Amino acid sequence: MFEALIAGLGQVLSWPAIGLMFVGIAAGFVVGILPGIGGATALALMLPFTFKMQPAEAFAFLLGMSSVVAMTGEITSILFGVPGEPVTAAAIVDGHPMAKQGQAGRALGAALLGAFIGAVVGAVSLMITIPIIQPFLRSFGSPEFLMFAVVGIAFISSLTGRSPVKGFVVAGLGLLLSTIGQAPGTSTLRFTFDQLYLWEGIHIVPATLGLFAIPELVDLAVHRTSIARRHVGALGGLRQGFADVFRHRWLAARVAVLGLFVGVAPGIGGNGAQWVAYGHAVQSSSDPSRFGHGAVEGVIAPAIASAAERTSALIPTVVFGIPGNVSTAVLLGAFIIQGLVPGREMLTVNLSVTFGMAWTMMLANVIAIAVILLLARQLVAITRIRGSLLVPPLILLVFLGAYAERNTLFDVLVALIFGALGLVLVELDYPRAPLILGLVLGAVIESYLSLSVSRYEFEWLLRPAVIVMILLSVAVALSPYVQSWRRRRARAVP
Amino acid sequence: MRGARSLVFALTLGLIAAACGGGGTPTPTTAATGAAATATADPNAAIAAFYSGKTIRVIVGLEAGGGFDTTARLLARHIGKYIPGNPTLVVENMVGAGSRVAANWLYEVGEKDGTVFGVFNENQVLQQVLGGTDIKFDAKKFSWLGSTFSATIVCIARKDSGFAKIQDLQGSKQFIAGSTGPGSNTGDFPQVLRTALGANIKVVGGYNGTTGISRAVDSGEVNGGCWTWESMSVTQGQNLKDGVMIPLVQQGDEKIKDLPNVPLAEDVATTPVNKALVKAITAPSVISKSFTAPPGVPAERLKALREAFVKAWKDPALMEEAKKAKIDIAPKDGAAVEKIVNELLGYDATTISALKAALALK
Repeated sequence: MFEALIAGLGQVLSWPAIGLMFVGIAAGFVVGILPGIGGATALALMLPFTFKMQPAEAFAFLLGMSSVVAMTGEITSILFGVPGEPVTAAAIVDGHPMAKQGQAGRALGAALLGAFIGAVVGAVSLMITIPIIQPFLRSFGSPEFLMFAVVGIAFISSLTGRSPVKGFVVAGLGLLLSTIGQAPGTSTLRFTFDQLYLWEGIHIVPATLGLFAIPELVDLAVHRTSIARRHVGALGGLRQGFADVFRHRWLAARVAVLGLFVGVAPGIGGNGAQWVAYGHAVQSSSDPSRFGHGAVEGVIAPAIASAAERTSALIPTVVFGIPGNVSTAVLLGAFIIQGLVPGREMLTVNLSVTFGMAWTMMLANVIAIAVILLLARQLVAITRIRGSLLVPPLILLVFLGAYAERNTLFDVLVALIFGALGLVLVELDYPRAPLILGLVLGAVIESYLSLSVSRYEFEWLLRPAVIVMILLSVAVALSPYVQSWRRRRARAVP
Repeated sequence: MRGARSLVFALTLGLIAAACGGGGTPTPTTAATGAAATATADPNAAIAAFYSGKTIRVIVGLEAGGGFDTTARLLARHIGKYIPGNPTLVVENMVGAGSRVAANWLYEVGEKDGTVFGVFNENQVLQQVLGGTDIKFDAKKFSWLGSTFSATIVCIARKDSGFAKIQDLQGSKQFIAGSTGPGSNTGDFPQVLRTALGANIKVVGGYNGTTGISRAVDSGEVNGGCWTWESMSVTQGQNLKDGVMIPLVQQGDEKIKDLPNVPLAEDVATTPVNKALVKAITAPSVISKSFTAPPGVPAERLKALREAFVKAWKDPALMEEAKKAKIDIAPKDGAAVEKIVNELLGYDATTISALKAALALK
């Protein structure tokens, strides 16, 4: 076991694996900064290059790339309010207001260290849990995966800011929009209005880009200022951002565990994980009203959770050959190309390859952080550029990003419609996050619900884990009300 | 500040360049007209002039990373050199409706000039026979390029579920099979076995691909399932070797080499109609992963694409990669696929109505 751990590190550090990892990291950097094209697409495109590589080299290259994509995506989200990756959209809600307040460096520091911690926690748990995870995962079925998503959606009550009703209205809209397209299980078409495009439902990339980026760009254009409305400190407070993560270490630990669970359960993915983590950050804060206006916890929590999700999604892929998210589905292709059979062999004869993957993810994150730190001064300086110079290239990036994932103009239209919707929501002071959470989790919930009912009829409700999670989701949904009631009582008592 | 400004500028420039490059910019007009002038003499030159500098879009109706996708990407990497003018090929995934989205799109929307072809689940052709909803294509009119493989469908069961041979399914104990949904091998084949073999099967639909079914089988949520051997031998290979999973029945052109003792469903079926049902439902499998261009592609370009398709599958580099990626190859040419499609669409009314009844279709 220990030998395999060292052998895995040796494989990653040997030539040409280490060189290929750097190539992967460089590619991941570009893909991450540009909005739209996600890590999964980039992986699929790079897969053919691995045909001539050895397993350790192939995974150093692929995982090096996918590890840094989301990390650099945080930069775009925080600096411009444009989601660099769909999984970094949550960083906008508080990260971009921080950039406007001249704290871009602090937000970046918090997000980067958060993403790093998430990746390390994920990689370490991959190393530790791999030998024991099999029976644990086998005990979960569709009803349990359904309840994971239900607990996730219960966090909407915490995403809603001052007015929970507004949040539920927006979340309801997201759930309704998630029913567009084919019904899971029966293949019936719903709300498709004879449009082939709508068969697949609303795609998350253009929806996220439009909803978050367009209102920010309009704001930037209308105010005719730079992104940073206040003076930016020398290095923009990177170090302060690092310190923030340590200050909120318990929050960090909780959302890391949350990310691990989401990664292991197929379906929810990083898109859901970041918002659930954000909701939890709001919920556990002593002053929830700061969120949405530049609370650093709102940057830390999603960064950690989505990084942990990304790494732990490899666990079911390695153990069962069942991908935890889209990126690992593509990685499964790489396994087959390398002649590796997911399952027992990855835990025995090929254990060093498995450990090599975990090492790669950790090393790639360290290297990415180092490079970003070197560039930090230049990156933060972007927030001082006049808005009129930034808006045109950013608009180009947003629409190109919306188009690039699937190459359809419909996606550009969706980005525009969601942009208009985002403007209305911002104007009326409605939160935007519940819409995305409803859209992402609605589809997951519906598909597992249909499976659970068709397999177990109503007996699935009697499974012990399901009952526990039903109670948990009720507790999560009610907790903001309980907290505000407590605060009112505390004020009334003296 | 200046550094940042130039960074933004460089980024924008790079993007514009990338956007233009991706669109397949035609070669300078003078060169193109020059080539067109000589075209009348040599049809190949006309085709070469057309494809030169162009991009062919390869539409994959299923998700990235799956069998259809890896096959399409493999083909796309090698077929370009066999098409006159050596166009660039770009693979796009257009997922949805068990690939009916892609099939409809190829029929209705895809450019009919030979710059688009694609692959969707061949079961869509059977769906046309069965009168599936929202089918907007007529498979007879597609410009078929050829197929990749002749697939065999195998049903497996967990050993601890108590089903060890096909006869165990014909008893009073219900076998629960996981499936992706109606209109796929995983759903329709076990559904037909209920009628054709009198098997006591409940089909649970809605799993996300065969990896999703595999997950449900592994966790004991379902007793087993039916899908193609090429995918099953990868995801369930170890379990089959260990005897944790037991193959019950198979159906295809011929028996799988590794499964000589597993019966063919058509041999288990007793009456001629039941045998026909089993064969009809698996007929599309013999034209597994068929590639087609939209209808109405100019004849000389279709001919060039069909020839390139045949040559590409014999390419040594492609075969080497296919071996590495564990993609099984047994291609049929465009004419052979066209013939099978026409046969499929020409079934007699008795078989079709029996098939519809077996699938519980109206």
